[in-house]
Amino acid sequence: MKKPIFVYYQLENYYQNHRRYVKSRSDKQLLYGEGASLADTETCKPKQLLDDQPIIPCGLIAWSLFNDTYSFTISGNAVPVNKKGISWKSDRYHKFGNVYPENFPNNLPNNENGSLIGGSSLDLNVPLNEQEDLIVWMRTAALPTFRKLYGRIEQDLKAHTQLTAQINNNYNTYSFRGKKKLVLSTTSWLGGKNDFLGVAYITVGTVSIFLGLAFFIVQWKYPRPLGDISYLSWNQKPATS
Amino acid sequence: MARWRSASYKARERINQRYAPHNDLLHHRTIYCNDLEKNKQFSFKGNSISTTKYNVLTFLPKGLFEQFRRVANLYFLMISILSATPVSPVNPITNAVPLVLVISVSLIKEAYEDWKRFFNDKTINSTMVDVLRDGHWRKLPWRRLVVGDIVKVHKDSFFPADLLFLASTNQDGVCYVETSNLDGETNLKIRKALERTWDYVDEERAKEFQGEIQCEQPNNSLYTFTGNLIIGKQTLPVTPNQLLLRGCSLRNTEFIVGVAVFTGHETKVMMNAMNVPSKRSTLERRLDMLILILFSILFIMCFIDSICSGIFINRKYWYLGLTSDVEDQFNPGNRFLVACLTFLTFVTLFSPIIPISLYVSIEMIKVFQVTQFINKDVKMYHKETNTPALARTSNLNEELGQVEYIFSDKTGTLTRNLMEFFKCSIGGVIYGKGVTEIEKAAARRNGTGIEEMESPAESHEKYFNFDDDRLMRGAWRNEPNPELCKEFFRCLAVCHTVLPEGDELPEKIVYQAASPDEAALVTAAKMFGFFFFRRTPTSIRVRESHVEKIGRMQDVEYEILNVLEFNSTRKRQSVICRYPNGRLVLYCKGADSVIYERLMERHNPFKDTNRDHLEYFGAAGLRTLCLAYRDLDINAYEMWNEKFVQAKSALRDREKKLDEVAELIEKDLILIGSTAIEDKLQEGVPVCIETLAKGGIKIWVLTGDKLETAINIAYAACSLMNNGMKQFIINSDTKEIRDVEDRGDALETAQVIERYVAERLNESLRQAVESEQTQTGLELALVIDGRCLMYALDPELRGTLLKLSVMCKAVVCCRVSPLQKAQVTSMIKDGAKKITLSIGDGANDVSMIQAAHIGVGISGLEGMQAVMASDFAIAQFRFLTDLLLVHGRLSYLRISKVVAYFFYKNLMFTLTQFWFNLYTGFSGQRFYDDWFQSLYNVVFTALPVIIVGIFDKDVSITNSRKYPQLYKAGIENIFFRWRILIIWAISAVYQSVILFFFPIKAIEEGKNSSGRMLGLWDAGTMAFTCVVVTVNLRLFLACNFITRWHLISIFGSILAWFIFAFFYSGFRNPLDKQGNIYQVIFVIMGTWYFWYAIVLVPVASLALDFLHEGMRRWFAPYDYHIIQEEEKIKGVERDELLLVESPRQAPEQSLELTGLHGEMSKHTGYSFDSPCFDSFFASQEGVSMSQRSYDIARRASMRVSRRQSSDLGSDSPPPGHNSLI
Repeated sequence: MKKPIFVYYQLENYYQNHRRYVKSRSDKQLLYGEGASLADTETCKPKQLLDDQPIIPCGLIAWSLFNDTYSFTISGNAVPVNKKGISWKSDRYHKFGNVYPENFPNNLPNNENGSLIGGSSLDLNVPLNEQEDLIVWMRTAALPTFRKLYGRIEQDLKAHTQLTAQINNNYNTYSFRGKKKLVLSTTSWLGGKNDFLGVAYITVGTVSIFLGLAFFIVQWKYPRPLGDISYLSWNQKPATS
Repeated sequence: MARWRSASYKARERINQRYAPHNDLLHHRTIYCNDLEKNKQFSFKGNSISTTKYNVLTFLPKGLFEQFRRVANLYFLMISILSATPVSPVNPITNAVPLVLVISVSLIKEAYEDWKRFFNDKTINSTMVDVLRDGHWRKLPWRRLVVGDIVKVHKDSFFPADLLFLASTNQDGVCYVETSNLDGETNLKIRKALERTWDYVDEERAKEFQGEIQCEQPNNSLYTFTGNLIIGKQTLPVTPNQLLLRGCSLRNTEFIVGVAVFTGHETKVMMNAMNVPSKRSTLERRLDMLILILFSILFIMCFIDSICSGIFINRKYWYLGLTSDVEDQFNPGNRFLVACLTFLTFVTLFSPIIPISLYVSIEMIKVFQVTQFINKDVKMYHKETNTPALARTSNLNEELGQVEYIFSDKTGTLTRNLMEFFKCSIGGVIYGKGVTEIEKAAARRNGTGIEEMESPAESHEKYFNFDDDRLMRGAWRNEPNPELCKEFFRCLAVCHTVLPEGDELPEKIVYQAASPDEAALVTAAKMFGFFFFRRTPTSIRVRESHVEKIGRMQDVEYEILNVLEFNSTRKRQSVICRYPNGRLVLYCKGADSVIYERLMERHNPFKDTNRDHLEYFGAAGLRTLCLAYRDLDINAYEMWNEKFVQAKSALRDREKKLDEVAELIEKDLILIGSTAIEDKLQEGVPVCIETLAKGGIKIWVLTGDKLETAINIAYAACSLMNNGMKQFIINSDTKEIRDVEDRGDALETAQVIERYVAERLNESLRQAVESEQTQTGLELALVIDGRCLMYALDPELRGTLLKLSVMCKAVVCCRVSPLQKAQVTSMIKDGAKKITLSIGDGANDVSMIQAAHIGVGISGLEGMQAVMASDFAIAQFRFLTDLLLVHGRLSYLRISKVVAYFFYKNLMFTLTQFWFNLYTGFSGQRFYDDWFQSLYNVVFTALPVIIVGIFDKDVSITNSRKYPQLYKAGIENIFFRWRILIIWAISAVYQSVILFFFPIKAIEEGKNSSGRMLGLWDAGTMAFTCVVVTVNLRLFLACNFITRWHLISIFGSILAWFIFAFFYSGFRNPLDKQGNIYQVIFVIMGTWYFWYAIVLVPVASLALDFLHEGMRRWFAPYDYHIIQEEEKIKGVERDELLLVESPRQAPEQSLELTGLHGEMSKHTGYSFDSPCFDSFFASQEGVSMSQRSYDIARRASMRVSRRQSSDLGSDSPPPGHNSLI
């Protein structure tokens, strides 16, 4: 595999598109993060206040941040995973501001998520627009099965190389029987491998050709002269009756 | 039907009340003239009128109420309210904005219209009029006028209220009024004051006037008025002749003085200002069904999703935070409540399935069709009368494309209502060499052929097409019966109710006649040298030539003693006159049947020859009248006159008594001869009817004419009937029935007729069914007269009649009343559930015009009543071809396409959201941004469909006319039946699947070359882009015809979406707390998936429709497909609709007579057609029309062929105008 090799985590049966979940965030708070908008957590129910102080970042999405961690080794040598630049630039610059996390429930020592429930803590000293895991996570997925970019391995992996992945299984998917997968993938200039579009193109093309042929044969065998007014319904009736 | 019944019931009740003797006080109005104080006790209503719907206070509540009575508005109001609650997935503003927009536009329109009405009322109410107050004429505004006031009205001004006419500056106490506001007739009518009040003209006299008026309570009958004027001890009967109605204006009279009898809203014209029920097209009613289906789909989708959401919700999804502080909608502890609330969420989410812009779009399309196409089509523009077609409503355009039955009036519609004196028979000799079209057709058929002795059009006088030197220029003196000839001419010149107008010269005089027949007869007298030139209320002056000796001319004044009115029961009219030499003569003209009954036994040598002649005339399609006279003895006359005067002043049953008295003197007549008048056909009628028949339209003739005349027209002129047809004639004029009638037992007569009708109907139906089974291709025709129809329309026989008439190719109903015309129309409309169109020109057609799905009025020559009641007005019957085959067909095609497309696009759009929610845990999450969703209907997909609705055209207009059979598609509703809609629905489902899964699948697995993943809003925006592109491109498959407007609107809409998306994603929306879409479009357009998808998805979505269209054209082509191909191959001349702005002479259609004449019609052709006797307002009440009295002026005004079209056009709308219309 040629570099860069993208590391993804895939979650299944995880409804990031549930209405209660999708709306539980405050884009205002994330971007502006000053004065009044910090406290603008109205839309963040049920994770809006911690001891009557506004949670930053508030809402279910931030609170349920994915917290499994992966590390890779090839025959004992650590393979570095670059976690910079995994989020969309527009998110980093236009949706997340220079806002520091505050009152974040997952950072409390005995947070309700517990160690195996999931919900990552945040580094209180790093502004949100630099916490790319959070930014990636908060671009909610469209379907209950989704992948999110974890990081990049910026070295080529030769064939038959044995890559060992060490997974810290923190994130709780047992309760709802969700599956977790780790995916490594590369891309070309066109993007990543996408079976679906390819198959769809070929299918539509094939069907079109087939139908074209069918029509051709029909016209060849049973031609209907164009514009022949004897085919008009009122001209045909006497013939049929 | 129920409407008619209840109306007639009410009318009867009203009459009962009016004439009930025991509560006279309640049902009479007593007015003390010139006495304000005394009148106060009655508290009559004031003269100020208000036609506004709202006032300042009621405007908002009432106006909003009206708006929300429309279901669609109410629905969107509810959605808006719902979307303000937490269950809503969308921002409430996005739903409220379109709704507020739609409603405020409607409200502004309402307010503006009401303001105009208010202003108009104000102008009317403050018009000044002279009122006698404190013994002097005071200028007062109309609104201050009260009942009992004496007013002075000057020339050319309008009457401020219904006035009792007291005096005028004209001699003989007459005045002339114009009633064009009431009935659209521009000719003047005479009103005559009672002799007793003639001299109350000036101020001094008028203030002394003390009278008491007892009259009927206010009612809406324009042509009746009963009352008494009590002056001192004298009681004088008052008739409509003394009543000046509000809305009319005074002409040719310096001023008049009158007493206000009814004021303000109690005036007759205001009581007539009723709301014409607005009609909705069948397609539009079907549209309601469609909306209902969409509602059901909505309900089902919401139901499924909400149940599932109740099942889905579970604490195990810890990341949803369902453990503590959970609102009801997501509380797993109460799943039922979850389902209920989520149901509301889904209703809000799926609300775009109901197309908010559908009604608005259709409205716009129709208004455009009406104003730009129908009203401006030069093919429907009548140059001679400068009348373009006029669509008075835009609701019914597409209904024009589905008409299966046309009910046509005969006179004035099929025929020109131009009567020409053609032949006559005097003393057993036939005069007149002309040959009628019917005879020509008959001759052509028999192969005999008549030499075309086309009489040179030497100074062709209107109404007169008589060519026989034996009677002209005094030559009649040498005929066998010069004395009879003289009587004949005198009878023509004296016995009538015509008003001469203009200079008293033969060339310049204009006759104002009650019917064109009368005008023709008087004109004939003029041509024969008996020139009637002046009428005073008591005399007639005739300039007689060649009487004493050839070439000598003399003016003779005949004193008119009595006029015995024409009406449809009497079928005759008599005038008793005194010669200057004292000779007392009764001249009578009327139907042969009535005249023959009253002839003297002896001294009538020509009786039999004349009857032969009548039959001959009848066979030639001419309309006949018999003329007779009787010399009266002065003593006998005086005795009779006493009775007559008595009857005339009777308060109750006046008409009936008058008829009885007339009977006493109209006997022992001596036959003079008979006249034959030709009823000219309208231009292009036979061709038009033939074309329409080819288009699958059945044409029924409903006429007040007698059986034979009606059959004649059906045969010869209109090719509706021919001898090859099997005819069923149901006629009450049989010997059997007449015998029973003679016995005078009304009940028995009714029973006999009923039995007869039932027998005939059942027998006919049996034969019809039989012939249908045995002989294929045998066409059937039904002829029924009004009297039998009355019984046939009974509930028991109705079904039989319906079955029979539907089997017949031609149906002719004759001698029918306006009410029956409406009943026949309703029978087909409600019974057979077919689309009906009624066309007529006169007041007697109004009820039928209103009863049918579509009412068409003939505008131009006649009065305006039919036009006022109609939905479309055209100048000529033949324009129906274009109205139906071109405009109607195209409108139907367009509207059905538009509706189907709306159905598809909303269903498809909503289904994509439905699929999405299967993957969101049924939570009601929106797939698209809320603004996308609410602008989808009103911006991104609104315009192109309107363009298609306006411009789409399957075949060229030339071919629309050339192949009338194409019209059958509309009758069979081929383009809007359920099958079509199901195909659209299948396509919507298929497309929604593609449009949801393709983009989302592409995104699920996809990643950019940078490896980053896309999210929910990226998928939604991408899918939405595909939806907008697909839906707009779908129109290319749907329309037959692409203009630059199509291209501009379709690509413009797609472009509009992108522009919107750029702006919307480019700026943070301060109203939207969640910046979901912020930057999204730029992100996805930076990925290749977007571009792959934008090419693939629309192609894949449209593939099915493409395949379907292709297969359809290939294997089961519609007729229009083939004609399109023919056009493609042979080319088609440019045939844009020619609009009136660039008038071009429409090619003259040859008057082609193709009919055959029936051998059965040994009829005599009596048909003195006076449809006016069945007045529109009477028909509204369902009252039998035959017993109304009509004064001369009224009569004389009814049927005018002359029309000052220039006057009509340039007149500024007079006050009171709007109150009537």
